[in-house]
Amino acid sequence: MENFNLDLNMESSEQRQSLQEQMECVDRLIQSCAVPTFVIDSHHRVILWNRACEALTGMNAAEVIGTYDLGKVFYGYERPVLADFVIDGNLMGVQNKYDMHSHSLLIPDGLQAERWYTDKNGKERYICFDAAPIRNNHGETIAAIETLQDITARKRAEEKLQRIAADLRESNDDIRSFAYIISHDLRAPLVNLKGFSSEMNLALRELAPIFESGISQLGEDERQKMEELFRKELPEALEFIDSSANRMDRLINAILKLSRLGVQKLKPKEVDTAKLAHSIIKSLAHQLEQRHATVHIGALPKVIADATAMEQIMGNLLDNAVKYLMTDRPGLIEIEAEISAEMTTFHIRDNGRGIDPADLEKVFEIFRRSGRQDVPGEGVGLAYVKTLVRRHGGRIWCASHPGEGSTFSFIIPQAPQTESGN
Amino acid sequence: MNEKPQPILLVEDDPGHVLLIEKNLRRACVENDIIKLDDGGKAVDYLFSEGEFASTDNPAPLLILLDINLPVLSGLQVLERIKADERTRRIPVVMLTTTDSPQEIEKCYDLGCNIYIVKPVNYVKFSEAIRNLGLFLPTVRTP
Repeated sequence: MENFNLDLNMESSEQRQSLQEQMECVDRLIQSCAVPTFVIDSHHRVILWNRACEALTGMNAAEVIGTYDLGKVFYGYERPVLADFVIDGNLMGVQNKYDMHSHSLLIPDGLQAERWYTDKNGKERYICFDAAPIRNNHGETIAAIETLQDITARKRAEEKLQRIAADLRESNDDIRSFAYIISHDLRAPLVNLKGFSSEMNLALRELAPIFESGISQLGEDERQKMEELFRKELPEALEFIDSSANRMDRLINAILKLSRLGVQKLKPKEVDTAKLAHSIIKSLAHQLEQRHATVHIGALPKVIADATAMEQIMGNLLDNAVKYLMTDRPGLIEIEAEISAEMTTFHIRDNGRGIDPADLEKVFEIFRRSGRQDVPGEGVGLAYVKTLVRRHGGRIWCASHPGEGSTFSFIIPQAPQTESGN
Repeated sequence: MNEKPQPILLVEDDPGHVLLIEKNLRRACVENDIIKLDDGGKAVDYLFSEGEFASTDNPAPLLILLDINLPVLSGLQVLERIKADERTRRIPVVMLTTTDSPQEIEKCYDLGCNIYIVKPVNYVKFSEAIRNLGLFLPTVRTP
């Protein structure tokens, strides 16, 4: 380590000796430090270049120490390093020299900056530079110390994350436009299917009197054939077209609703889930009575959530629990909550017919229904529920024993996650 | 009042929808001519006597039925042109669409459309909506 130009009044050789020892100690300390570190004095002269610095840059202390133009040595062209800005106490031009820079959060008058750096061997590294002034007792800057940290891995990870986030935004936008396409472009042909099958029905009705008068003039075989076509085949075909178009319309509406749920704005506020559970159970009273079912509602908390969404989540799950109860034993439904500092986990347990283990994931997919198809439904309720729970930053899952019952559990974080975008 | 009634301008690219709309307007005893155009560009050309309609006689429509998803210029772009121009801004515009997207409905009203009709898949409702429109026609004031 080259000595600082310190204005020290040496009283005795003992003191000088002691200072010499202290300097050596400091030198060993910095040399042993795993963080690449160098020091320049107030004349921009390099006076310290530690071993980690040698390893990172491929430049030996011998070639660097004593030089006045570290920027040129380091980057290969004329420019200041961060420590030069600290020495000059002037930040003019710093923003052009680095990808980003800021004042140090840890050291007064320190600077932090980042940029790509190509080392002697042509290897690209992303470096975080930290520079801070070294001051004497009078507060004058006599040198600046700078450390370099290779944060290439972090930078690459950040870049990757940003790419993934951009991809996600794009695919979210795709889903949004997909919803619009579904609602517009798929419905348009249905309007025609329904419209023209109805027009054909009208035409058939208008044809009827003409048919009646004409048919009597036909021979027996032809008459029977015509009767069959006119009274059975045609109306039947039209009926199928009509009911299929209706079904298609319902499916399109279901997809549309799901995609809108995925993007609609939540209005988080305090929701009393105990009150909510009681009111849903009250609305299901008739069905519960039919199944001789009992409902136990445990201690349920107030949560911060979208009130409508919570109602739909609980409503759908309880409705399902009742719908799939067995007819040969009294129904039992339990609603409980586990409360922790970060989240509330709700459990809705039933002793209904249960779900085949292979179907446990499938039940949350749109249009997928599990087991015997003897209960009416479109297969959309749980898909809505899953979307709504996900929108609250929670998750939902199901455990089940076929023939014994199912438990649907879902987590609502204490405060909904803040959402970015619209 | 023996002069020829003003026509109705129907801008719709789905030929099936055109036919269904026309049938139902006729059922509501609407006898006005119906000018049918299948893209937004043609609608603007007709209204402002431009392009292929530059040298033809284009009577101002009593009412414009405008689909939203149209080729060349969308229904919203056409609506914007109509409402921005002194010559056309008083003509009542009925937006027709298959989607009930709330944002889209809002946008249409913001741009000054007079009525927004969702073409329901349910044909009874569809024909009712169009026939009601036909019944409301006599009350439309000529600009």
